[in-house]
Amino acid sequence: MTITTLEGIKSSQRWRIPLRRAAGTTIASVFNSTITRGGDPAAGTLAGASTAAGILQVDSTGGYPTIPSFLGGAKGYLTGVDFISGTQLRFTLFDCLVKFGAYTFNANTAVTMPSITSRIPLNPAGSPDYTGLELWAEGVTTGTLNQSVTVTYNDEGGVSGSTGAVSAGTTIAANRRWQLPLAAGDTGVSAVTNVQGTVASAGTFNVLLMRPLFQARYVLQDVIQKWSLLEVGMPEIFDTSALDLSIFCDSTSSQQQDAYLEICSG
Amino acid sequence: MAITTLDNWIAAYKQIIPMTRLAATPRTTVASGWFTTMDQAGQPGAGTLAGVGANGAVQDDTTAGYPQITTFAGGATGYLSRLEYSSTVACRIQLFDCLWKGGPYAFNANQAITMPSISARVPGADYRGLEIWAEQVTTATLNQTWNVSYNDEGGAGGTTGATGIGAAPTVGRCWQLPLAAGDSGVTAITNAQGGTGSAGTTNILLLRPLAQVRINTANYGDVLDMLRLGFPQIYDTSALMCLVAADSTSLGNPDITVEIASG
Repeated sequence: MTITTLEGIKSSQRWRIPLRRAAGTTIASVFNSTITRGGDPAAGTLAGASTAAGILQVDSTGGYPTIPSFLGGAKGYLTGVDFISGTQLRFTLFDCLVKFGAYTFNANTAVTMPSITSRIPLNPAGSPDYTGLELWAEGVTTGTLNQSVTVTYNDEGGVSGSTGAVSAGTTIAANRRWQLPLAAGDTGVSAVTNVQGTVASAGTFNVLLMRPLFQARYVLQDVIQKWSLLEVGMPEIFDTSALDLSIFCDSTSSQQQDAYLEICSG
Repeated sequence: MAITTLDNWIAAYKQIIPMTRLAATPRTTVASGWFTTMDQAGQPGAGTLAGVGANGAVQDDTTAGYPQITTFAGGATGYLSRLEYSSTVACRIQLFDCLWKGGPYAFNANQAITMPSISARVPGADYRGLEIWAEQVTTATLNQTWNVSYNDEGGAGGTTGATGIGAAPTVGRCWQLPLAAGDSGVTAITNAQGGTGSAGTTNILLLRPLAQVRINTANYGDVLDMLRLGFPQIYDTSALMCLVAADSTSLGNPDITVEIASG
């Protein structure tokens, strides 16, 4: 089934899923993972558990909020976000599909990725819509020099592509994230096939394949901001989605973030 | 078909289009001056600043530098229904559908132009609101001006008059060439004439404005829903591009996500 009307939303099953992160130091003006910070859900593990295949991330993986199972045949949607923080920031909410790693600074590893089709919304033709998926790198242990990462992938149509070497811009540190833009003309990723690190002489990193759901600016500390379904856009969510909060703080912060995610299913 | 109700929007296919710039060293700009982002690194990848010739070409989503848009279902109409935006610098950002790019024209060109049809990209054949801009490809000298002749929204001839920015434009600088008094749109561009400058090349752009936003301070941002955006029509061939006017001298890295609903 699919929710196609406002009445469908009103009559759907709805949950408010907590995504609270305890205070923890972040790096200013770059994106940071929050998965290792305790709260609700409890902290997860930063380092990936497979370099050769990656691990499909699901809601039961440590660090992601648990999503109630949808009724048979029902679809789920993100229909609202409440957010409060002790610091001003930008944030992006992702469905984290696969985590690859942790790779050593000079790895050059072929990857055979698990299937992600069960977590990809369908396009109007009824096929998995891989457009919009993003590749990110994520520091796991402190590095040296300017860590660069090259990911080879199959694009939205299955054609091979490469990000080229994308540098972090500085030495990496745990939780620091940077996006790996796709080659010109590519709009998505259906599979990751190789990961290579260069330049650095120490440190480890993950690669993440993620589907962005919503991004916003949190403008004033300690004020609750709410975004409705019109602003969130009702992206499709699965009851196995691994909801990941990535934050970009204005300054080094030790403040907590406290969000509720409204998910409806029908 | 068209989206005519809230329920239509809820049921619509919504695609999320990234327009993220990730340049390690963003372009140096002139404070408060408009600059293009289409040749900057990011997602989508950088495009080519220079146009493809005197008569130019219709720009579409397959042209490098513009984000690709998934083809709408047969008979569906698309709309800009949501905009997430932020930037690393305080600035203004304008989002356009770039209909046509001509050039690059030499600083002293006086070039007749036979423009390809843009009718497939103009909602309701209503040419009102289209804008003409100059875009600097290679650095100019002096106060480079451009005088563009065009046919207005009703097909009558008009001219912008010679318009510059009062200084030598640097690479990527853009400035609007206002239409003659009484004109409200453009159906075709017929001539481009450069003046004053003694070096440099320039493109001429025909743009359909979709939205404009303000980044009050570095890393600020917001989300605009369809009610705040006005639900402008988008095509699955639209060439979405941003111009940025930074408060200071760095273009910064805008991070924009466009939601297109089609149904």
